[in-house]
Amino acid sequence: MSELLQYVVTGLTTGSAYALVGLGIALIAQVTGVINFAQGQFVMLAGLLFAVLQEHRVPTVLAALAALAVTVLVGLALERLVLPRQAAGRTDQAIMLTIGASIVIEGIAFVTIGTEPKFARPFTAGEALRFGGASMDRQYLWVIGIAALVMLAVWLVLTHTRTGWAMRATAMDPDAARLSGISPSRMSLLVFLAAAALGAIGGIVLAPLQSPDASVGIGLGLKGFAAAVIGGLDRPAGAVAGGLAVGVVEALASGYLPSSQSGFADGIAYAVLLVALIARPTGLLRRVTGERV
Amino acid sequence: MSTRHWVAAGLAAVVTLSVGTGCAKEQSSGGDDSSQIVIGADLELSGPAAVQGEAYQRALKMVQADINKTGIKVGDKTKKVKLVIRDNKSDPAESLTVAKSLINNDHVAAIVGAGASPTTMPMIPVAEKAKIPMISMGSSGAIVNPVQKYVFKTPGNTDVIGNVMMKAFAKKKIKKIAVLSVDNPYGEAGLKEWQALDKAGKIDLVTNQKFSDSVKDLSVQATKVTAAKPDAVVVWAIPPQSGLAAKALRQKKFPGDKVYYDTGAGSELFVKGAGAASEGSYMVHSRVLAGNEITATTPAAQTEKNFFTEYSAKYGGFSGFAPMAADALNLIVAAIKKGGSADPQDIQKSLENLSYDGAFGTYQFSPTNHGGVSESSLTVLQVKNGTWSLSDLG
Amino acid sequence: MAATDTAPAEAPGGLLDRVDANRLLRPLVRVGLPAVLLLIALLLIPFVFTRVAPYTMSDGVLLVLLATASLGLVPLTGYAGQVSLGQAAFYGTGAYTTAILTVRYHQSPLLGILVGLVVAGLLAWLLGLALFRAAGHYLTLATIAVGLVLAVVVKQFDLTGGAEGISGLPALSLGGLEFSDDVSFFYLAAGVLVVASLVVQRVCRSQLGTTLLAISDSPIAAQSAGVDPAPQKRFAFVLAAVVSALAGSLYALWSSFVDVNTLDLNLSLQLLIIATVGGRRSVYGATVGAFVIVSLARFAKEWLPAVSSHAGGQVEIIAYGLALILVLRLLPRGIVGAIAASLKRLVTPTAKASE
Repeated sequence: MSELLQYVVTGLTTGSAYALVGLGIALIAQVTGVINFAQGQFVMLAGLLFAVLQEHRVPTVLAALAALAVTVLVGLALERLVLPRQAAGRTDQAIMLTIGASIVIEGIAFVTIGTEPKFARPFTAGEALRFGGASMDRQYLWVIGIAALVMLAVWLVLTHTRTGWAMRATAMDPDAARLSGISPSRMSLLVFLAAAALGAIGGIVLAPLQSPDASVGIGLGLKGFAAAVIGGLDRPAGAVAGGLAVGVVEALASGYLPSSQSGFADGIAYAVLLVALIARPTGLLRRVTGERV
Repeated sequence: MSTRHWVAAGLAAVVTLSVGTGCAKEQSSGGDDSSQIVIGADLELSGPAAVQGEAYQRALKMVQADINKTGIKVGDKTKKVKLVIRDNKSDPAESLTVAKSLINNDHVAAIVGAGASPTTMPMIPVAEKAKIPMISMGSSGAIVNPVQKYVFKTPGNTDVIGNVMMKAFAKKKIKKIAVLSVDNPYGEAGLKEWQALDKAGKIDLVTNQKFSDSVKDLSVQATKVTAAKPDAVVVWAIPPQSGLAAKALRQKKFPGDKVYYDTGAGSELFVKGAGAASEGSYMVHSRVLAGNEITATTPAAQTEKNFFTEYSAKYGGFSGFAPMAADALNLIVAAIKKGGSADPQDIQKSLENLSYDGAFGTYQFSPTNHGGVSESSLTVLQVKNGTWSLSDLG
Repeated sequence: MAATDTAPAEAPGGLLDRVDANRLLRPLVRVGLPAVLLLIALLLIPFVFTRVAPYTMSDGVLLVLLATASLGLVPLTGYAGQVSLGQAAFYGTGAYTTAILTVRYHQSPLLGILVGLVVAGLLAWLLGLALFRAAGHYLTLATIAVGLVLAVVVKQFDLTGGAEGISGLPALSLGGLEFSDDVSFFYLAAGVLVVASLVVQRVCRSQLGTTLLAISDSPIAAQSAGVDPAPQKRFAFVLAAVVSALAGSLYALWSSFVDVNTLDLNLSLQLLIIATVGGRRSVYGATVGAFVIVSLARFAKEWLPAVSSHAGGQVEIIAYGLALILVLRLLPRGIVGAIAASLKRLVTPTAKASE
């Protein structure tokens, strides 16, 4: 019993990381129709910068702010310099461009920071938390807390501000939105900046747990896709649920597969992603394919 | 439209230019420079095994500089070593083309590499066919078993490491073990070794868990193996997963001194990643990792100590992978000196009958033994006060 | 080749379609000339790659194998607008099938190749049934997922050699000729590339190509015109899978070693970059793209260690990414598309107006 509890706890904690990545992917997909392959690299970049700055004895808060700022700038560069302007852009071209950007960001991180993993200090020191036979690293409290705050903020912005309203309007019908005076280009920029910031925050809170190196972006991005698609790409809240679900399924699979089959657990998230794509394509596809005629 | 036109023209120009300079380059290096011995290195400078590759590269450059201070006497000439280091991206297909290019383009006398088992395997038929000796830093026993004429290796074979651990288990009266292994060729080789020992009735393998080399939390795996109540947990992983394993086991209150790591667990990176959770853990490795403690009573121990000191001073820290590559290059140089010839086939002949005290340990190559380091060179180290130290299990 | 007449005027490789040539000769020139140029270029490779410094004949072999593997992306991505990041899944399926049949069951390499094609084709067809019921960019994610799942699965079975993979594949021999060295293997693989290029081009120039273009440019218009896009896309997907598997099988026999890297996402990325840089809408783009990528890799290896000691492969990766971005932004039709457009303007200045 205490094992099941441990698996669920571990699943929810790793899942909260996937949820943060998935949320960024879902936001961009919702507003622009582009699937952003560089989302995982935002997480990597911020986490790695944060850890490196800490290793150089920069105070935690300053290191976090610097990592956040650099990552948001990279998001700005991606949207303004790499992607074609929204109106003229075809989404398949934009997707390939984000793939190119992802490769370049990873390569630059490798060249400037190196291949070794970097280690950040936990925000608060102390032994792991224990309850009912399960244990959890203290840092995960920060991850869950900050993830919850960020998600709440995203929800508030989307539902209670004019910008959020404009974003949702753009998502539903870009042409109608343009007619009512909303600039899709501005919305696209805003959502990329928001996604970069989300990714950066995720990377920073996870850095003490996951000892990031320059190669972690792709893996995180892939788990984020699984989260976003399973939850339904057009619903940011769905991406959060999807992320938690992927985390728990992975942990349960690792926990309950017989030891000779334990290697399969590694592929379970992608198998679930594939099943979701096959089983409910129309349901998942509604928004993104309602594209220009 | 005209922009596109110019870009197309530019690209064409770049391609033509690069081919052109390529030609020029070949002509300039056309005359055979007999004052140099060209040795190739096929290393993992990028990709998942880049941490190892970086250490190998540093070690090779350091050893090369040392050798070239005096040069190698071959016949009546003193020659210098020219290293051609190429990146195989931790990819077997790339390693294959790197090996071919080292042999066909750079005309190397011998190859150091590759640095891991999967990148080494596809090189073997190439080296055999071209009759160029190669010394791999891959740990898998399959590299030298069955023996291939031109293929050698430096790290201890998996079965040798298994033997060393078994002796430690006997001392500690450990009968039931659980294995945590990374799901790649390296981890699989380790797991197979313990499954074989279990089958032979030498140890009781109560459970095992495989995990991916990109996993970031091993709590579930640690919960599962500790639930089986083993006397010890054996971990076959490289950083950062080796450190994550230590942390997760510690969270399950599994004592650090009941956890045993293979050579790949890493030196400083492991301790850095695992933090306090690494305290007490054991690892099978060469003595060189506890370089500060080695009392240099024998020439072999002196070599190990010197290497540790020089590498640490030069690069501000030590890597357990470094001595494996250093020895590979030194073994080739020793074979050249011994045979008095830098001809690939002569190097092979000398290597096959070479005894050598290296930084990682002692090698006794023979026509039936192409490596790696002998069992007597390996010991069991323990993390004490945050650094690897010699242990009572050595 | 009558189908060429129905192809749209802007079809790829259509350098001379505005020249007032004999109607009977025109298809021959349009299909024949680029094919002859490809053949000449390929025949030059052994002479250049064995003489010019950083290249080796293995680069030549790898070049034609990568070009073959990315050919299928011309109809799939170039025409149908479907970004596939799972080409390696089929490349690996071909490689593994060939390895299993030859090493585990001691069958002939040729049978290994043929069965590999069938298995990869079937896998793609089944996936296509499930995935093309609705349109969209979910194919990209689905193809990634397939590759990742397969990569985990092959590590778990002894049949597929576990994480260590399968080594010791026999050399390929056909009719008493053994293709064991790089030069002879190159000629074989280059022959396969030429034939595969012509087959894929034939498909693209047929009614199917036109339909795929129409679906991709305006899915809803195509649908309202009564075109069901799914079977057409599925056909393109299966074709891409089979061609990729062919390259994978050949790779396995050439290197005599297969492991999980043949299914890797990085390989899929590389194939997509090759097709895009070369030109997504021309079968000759694949060869040009493969030449550019192999050259980038080789020259990066040769020169970068001199520039920066601790970054060989990474700088090369940046170059790939930049090449992809620059080509997509500046030359959306890739290098071949841009050259074709320039030539077209040279041949018929009046064509300028229509650009």
